[in-house]
Amino acid sequence: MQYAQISLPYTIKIIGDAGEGIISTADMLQRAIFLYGLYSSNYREFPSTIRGGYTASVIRISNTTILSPLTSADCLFIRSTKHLLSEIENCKKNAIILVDSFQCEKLNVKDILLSNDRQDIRVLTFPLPEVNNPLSGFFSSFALGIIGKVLNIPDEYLRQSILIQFSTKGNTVVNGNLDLFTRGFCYDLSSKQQFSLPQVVFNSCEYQICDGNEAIGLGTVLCGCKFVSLYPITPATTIGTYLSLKLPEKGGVLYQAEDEIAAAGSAIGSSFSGAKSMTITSGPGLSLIQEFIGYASMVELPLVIVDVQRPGPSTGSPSKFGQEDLLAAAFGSHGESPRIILSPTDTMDCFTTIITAFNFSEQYQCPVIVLSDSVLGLTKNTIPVFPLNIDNLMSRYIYKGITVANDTQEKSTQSKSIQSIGLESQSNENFQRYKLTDNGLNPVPVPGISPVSYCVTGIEHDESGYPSDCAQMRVLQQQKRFRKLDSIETDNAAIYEYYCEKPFSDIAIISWGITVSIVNEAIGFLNADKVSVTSFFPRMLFPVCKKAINHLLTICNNLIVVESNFSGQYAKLIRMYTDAKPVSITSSSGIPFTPEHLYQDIMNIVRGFNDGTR
Amino acid sequence: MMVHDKCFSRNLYEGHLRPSWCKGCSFFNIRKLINDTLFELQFDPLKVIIISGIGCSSRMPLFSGTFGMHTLHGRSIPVAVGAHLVNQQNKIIVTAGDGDLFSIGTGHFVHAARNNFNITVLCFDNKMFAMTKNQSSPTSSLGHVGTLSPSGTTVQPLNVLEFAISCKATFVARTSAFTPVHMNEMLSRALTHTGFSFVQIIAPCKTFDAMAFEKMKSISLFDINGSSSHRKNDYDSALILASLTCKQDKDPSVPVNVGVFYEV
Repeated sequence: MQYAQISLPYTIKIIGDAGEGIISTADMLQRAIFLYGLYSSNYREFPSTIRGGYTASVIRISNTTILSPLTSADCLFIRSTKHLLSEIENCKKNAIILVDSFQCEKLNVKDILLSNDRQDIRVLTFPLPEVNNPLSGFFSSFALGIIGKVLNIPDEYLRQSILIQFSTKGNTVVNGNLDLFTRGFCYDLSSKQQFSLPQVVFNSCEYQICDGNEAIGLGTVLCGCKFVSLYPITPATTIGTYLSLKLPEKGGVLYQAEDEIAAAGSAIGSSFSGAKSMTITSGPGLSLIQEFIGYASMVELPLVIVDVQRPGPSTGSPSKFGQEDLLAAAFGSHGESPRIILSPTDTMDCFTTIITAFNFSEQYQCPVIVLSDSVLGLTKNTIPVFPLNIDNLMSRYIYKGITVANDTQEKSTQSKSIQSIGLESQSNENFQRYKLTDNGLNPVPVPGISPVSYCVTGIEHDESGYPSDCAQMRVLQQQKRFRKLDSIETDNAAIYEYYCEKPFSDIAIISWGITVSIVNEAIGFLNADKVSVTSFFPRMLFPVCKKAINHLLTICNNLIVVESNFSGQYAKLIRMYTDAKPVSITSSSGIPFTPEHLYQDIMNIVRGFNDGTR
Repeated sequence: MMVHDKCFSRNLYEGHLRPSWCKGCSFFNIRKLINDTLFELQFDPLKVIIISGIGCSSRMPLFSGTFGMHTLHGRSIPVAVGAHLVNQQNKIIVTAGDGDLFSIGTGHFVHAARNNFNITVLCFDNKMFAMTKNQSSPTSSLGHVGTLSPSGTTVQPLNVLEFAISCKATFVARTSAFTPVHMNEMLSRALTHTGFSFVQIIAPCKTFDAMAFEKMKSISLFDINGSSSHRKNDYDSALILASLTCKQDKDPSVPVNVGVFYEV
């Protein structure tokens, strides 16, 4: 018996139909690997129905933070499939297929491997257990046993994982599953080669398994947000599920509104009342709340909007992956209403980006849209545990009266951003909420706290905030609203990641959202091929980082923008706001790039640059 | 009501802007009564938020000395709910028209009433979209002639009283913009009610329906809470009376019912 150490990262793909326990198997496997002490990511594809339809989970195991959630499989576990050939095509060289003997016959696995010249793939079969009900155990526990055996995961971690999975279902269910697990784990697969798992890398109490939605949820609570509203929509709902448990503990309100418009409206009302407020939705909801985005921009109230994107247009593909809402987020709403767009690049970044979103929203008194997506939101990753407290939180400058000199508000924004308003009177007639200051910012009265009241209106207004017909004032107020964001790029660090390998590298790659993680893995392949890469990954997509991108042009001519939508939306924004004319690599299949395919796409362009065809 | 030792003087409730309503508009009466009532009840003007949508009546917060939110057409109620949920010490009042609340805003009304959020919704009912110069609204009478219905509408109006009661609002009342004493009483009870309170204030448009305006000033009103035996804490009775009221509205020879229809 040979023992070969698994080469990391190692990818296991589990496929079947919805309802067959695919996701449960993957969840338990990830938990066991975590308990053992290795990093893992757990990406899932699922249909938009409750039963039936293609479901797949992809577990990647690594000894370091995992970048791309999806790659070709090293091990394919088939519960059922209608597309065996394409699954086989996506297997790595020397992959293993695990399938029950009945399916193996039915799908003709061995013949298909033969006729497609894939004899490098080994097939290991096992008998299908006859039972799959809660009392005798779910198939997923059996599958866990088989996979655990192949990977040589110590069985104590697998058992503990099962215990945790079924902890609320009572002893009978737990024992039934442990029995079925044992049957799988003890079955002799007659494999000529055994794996051994590499050394443990971390102490599991310093790390956690978490997905982007939960990371956004926790960041929201730690920011001191007191109001979150939403209407259920895939794939955003689980942020609300998480918040329904955590937000009330901190005295916050989670409100399920009757529709997205009510969700956005209630968040604005809450913001007016002084609370940090957020609404959560996906693409279809973003369409609905455009009017309120414009309103928030016009009345200059902080508002955070999270859009967990999915492919569109219209209902689109509710459970698939896309980054297709950028232009809608940037310009959606009639008239011209400035706003900020941020997008996290990995699971941990979901936590840091939501904090930045609240800080910007409060500081610049405008709507901030956070573009996440179904992969970021629902892929469970292994990340460090979050801090219990956050420094440098910002809040709006609440107007407490002109005699207040030393207020106790969070310091970071105040002295820099708010100018003196020099009022004499406190009647609301003279209070200038929208004074034409240099940086466009002013203190905000809050009901119940401030000594002066005011009225917000969506109508164009003068400095007092009351409606005005004056053409000049109209232009001045528009300029003021846009002016607020003029210096946002230069005033803030960490709104983009910029890595210049060397001046005049072969190419520069720009990307955003989860695609950044996939690009980073592809860059590894490019570097191995001696292609030098400068990378620019903005976390703030809008306003566009003009200075940084124009600077990039001075040190590299070959800009490529990689993003997961059809029309190259960020590339369009770059062309609109900078001198750059980048090449686009896009994908809108509903499934993320794999680093291997992306590397091929980039190499095609590199060759084009080199031989002058680009 | 005795008025002495008030901390908040009457002028604090007045805004600094002169209302832009037409001269003689019935909304001037309503505004005065809202301010009078808030003053009598001594709500701190800095802890009152008047929230509106878009329309003639929705201009109300702009003409008030309290905090105000002039929001989007049909969306005053969700904004009010959000404002209420994060600080229940503030008094939230929605002032909006029949079109704003019951055309585009109907969905929001249902759920705020059902949830019994502690806000007061005042409908300035002129039975049309007046700001856009007279189109029919859901409360317009059958046969209403407007710019988009030159031959008159062919659809029965929505009975907002019945609707509010069926949405489980816990205070439903009706009054007229031309009876200050009655309006004061209705507003007072609505503003001090715990839970979702709704008052339909009949306030015809002088400019676009002068006939209805004059008629409302002179028509007889019947106070259902007077000597009548209406049991306002009984859901079924309230619904039946609301339904009957709507039928009677169409008959010019019968007095118009006003008062508290439902209160629990």
